[in-house]
Amino acid sequence: MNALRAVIGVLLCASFVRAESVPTYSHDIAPIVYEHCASCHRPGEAAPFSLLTYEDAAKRAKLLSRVTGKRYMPPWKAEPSDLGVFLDERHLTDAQIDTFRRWYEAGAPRGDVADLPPMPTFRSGWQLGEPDMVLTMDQSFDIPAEGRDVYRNFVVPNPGDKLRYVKAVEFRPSSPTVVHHAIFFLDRTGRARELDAQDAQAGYGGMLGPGFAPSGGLGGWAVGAQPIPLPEGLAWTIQPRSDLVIQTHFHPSGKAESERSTIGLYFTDAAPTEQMMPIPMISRAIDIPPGEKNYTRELSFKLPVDVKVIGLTPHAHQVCRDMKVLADMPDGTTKTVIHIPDWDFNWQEQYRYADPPTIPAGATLRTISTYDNSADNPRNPNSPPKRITWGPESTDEMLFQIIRVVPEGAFGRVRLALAIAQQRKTMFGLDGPSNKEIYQKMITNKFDADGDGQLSAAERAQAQEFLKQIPGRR
Amino acid sequence: MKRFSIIVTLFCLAGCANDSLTLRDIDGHDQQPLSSTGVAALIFISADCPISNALAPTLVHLHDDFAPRGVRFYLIHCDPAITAERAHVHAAEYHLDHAGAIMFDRDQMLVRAVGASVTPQAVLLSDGDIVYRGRVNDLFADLGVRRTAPTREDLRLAIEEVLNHEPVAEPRTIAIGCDIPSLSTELYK
Repeated sequence: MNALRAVIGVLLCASFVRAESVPTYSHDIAPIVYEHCASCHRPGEAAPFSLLTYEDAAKRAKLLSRVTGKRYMPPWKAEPSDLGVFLDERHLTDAQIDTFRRWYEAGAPRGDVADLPPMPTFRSGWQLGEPDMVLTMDQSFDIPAEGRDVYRNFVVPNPGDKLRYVKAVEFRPSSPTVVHHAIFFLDRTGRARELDAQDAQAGYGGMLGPGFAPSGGLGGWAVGAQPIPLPEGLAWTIQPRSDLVIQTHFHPSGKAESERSTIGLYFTDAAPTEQMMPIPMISRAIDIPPGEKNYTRELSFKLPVDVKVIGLTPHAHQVCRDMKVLADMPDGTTKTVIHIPDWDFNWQEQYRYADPPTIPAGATLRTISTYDNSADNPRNPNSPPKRITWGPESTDEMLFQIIRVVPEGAFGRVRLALAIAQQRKTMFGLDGPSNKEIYQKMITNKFDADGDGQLSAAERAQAQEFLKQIPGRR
Repeated sequence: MKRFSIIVTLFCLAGCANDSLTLRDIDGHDQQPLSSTGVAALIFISADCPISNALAPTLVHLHDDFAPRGVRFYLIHCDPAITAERAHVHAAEYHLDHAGAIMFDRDQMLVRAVGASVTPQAVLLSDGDIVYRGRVNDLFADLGVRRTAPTREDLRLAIEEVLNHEPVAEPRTIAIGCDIPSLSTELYK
């Protein structure tokens, strides 16, 4: 028996040794880097250095091993979804990560250059060819060298006065090292122009929303995103006389920069045959005591019809740690729609499925967010921690998930719209007694300046003023 | 093991100080950061590490505040491939020409002498002894985890403690940054 074990042991060892042959740059590392890193790590792109050559990679062998090992790079916050892959999804396999580690430990050998794959080619300039319309910010915005991140809304008056259907959008920052992400809103109210005019600098501040009820949107952009046309049957709609509002998140980089973004629009003449609808899963009932490490909030929504899921916009602020959307299927299984186990306020990605999956009627969507308001959370904006309640500032918190779907079947749109309307109470955190209680207590805590546990007339007036500013409130 | 490496480091430091390691700065002057008396802050930097660059304004502030009080600042490039031209352009972009003497340690003698491992990393010397080694501040809690604002300005506090003739309360912290290129890779053989 022992002899058999020994033989098996020797065989296992032998296969293990063979699998553990020393990786080389030319044979093992270059293919991974070319496929997963080079689109950003090349001259002129957002990444801080290029990784196109052996020299580039070898001198950073330890760094590459460490950042891939921590899954910090390539940057992608979501776990693989049970429903399909997302566009731009960037994951390395455990084996690829191990290859970086073994290559570093072996002294980063070059190997035989005959093994090198061909250098990847990248299209320069507009990735989808010349756009049908190019819009540029009319003035530059200055980003300081240091300090807190900046959120800014820029209005690009849309010269078009006709209805447009947009198939794809390409965003081009002029200072890619400081632009982290951007969200594109459409405004027909003229409110964005007014807000812009009130401020001497380009654009206007704020990050809750653009400060008006958007008449539509054109998706968004985050570092590393590629312009990918919407699926068959879908298009973004720009109503006549709409202004484009670009909400941009900037990271100071250590050096003062100036940004003047350009956005290219690709039109289609075909009106969309399908319409996306947002399912908002949003609650304002958030009230996190200081020091609370594990504050969890959950919202659910039962689908009245089959829906094709185009994508999601998860959103939270700085103390959210974990966020997921689950689907409890009619057959009793639970599927992960999206899971972001290490939520990072800086990665406000808009996730789109490469091949939109269908979730059947009768399934219940559950969005669950967990918050850590303790001193142990380095992303906590307050030191020492303070009570954090729902609110628009980045130092407030949110429970916010938009799931963009195409409802299917007869009267799909109407039935879904009705179900969402019935659910709207969740917008005010009033979906059930516990939420109502949390919400009322939250408002009291937020405006109870003298700390006597109730709102005086003056404090109540302030609370009412605050609530008035919330777009979409009825 | 850690203790051993510190002993080795200190031993080497004493040794290196005796043969007074000389480095060329970008203005062509020779500098001997290890063999000087008084207070010297060595900060290992990199032209292409975003964490190192994000802290450039902090280095300028430190220099503004403490150079008049006699603290000498040395900013050290330890990438074997860094060119003088690149360092000049980088210094101009990030205003580091106002943050101390910028030097080259391409063969990483100084890196080894004081035990640096990442950029940015600070080493504070008082009369040739290492009294602080670690992060400049805690703006970055980890790779990719940037706080809204630093909660502790470690290098600043250490300098103040030394100038006040007090022991440094936190003599060692972990620096978050980009690994210094390793000379043991095949690239440099």
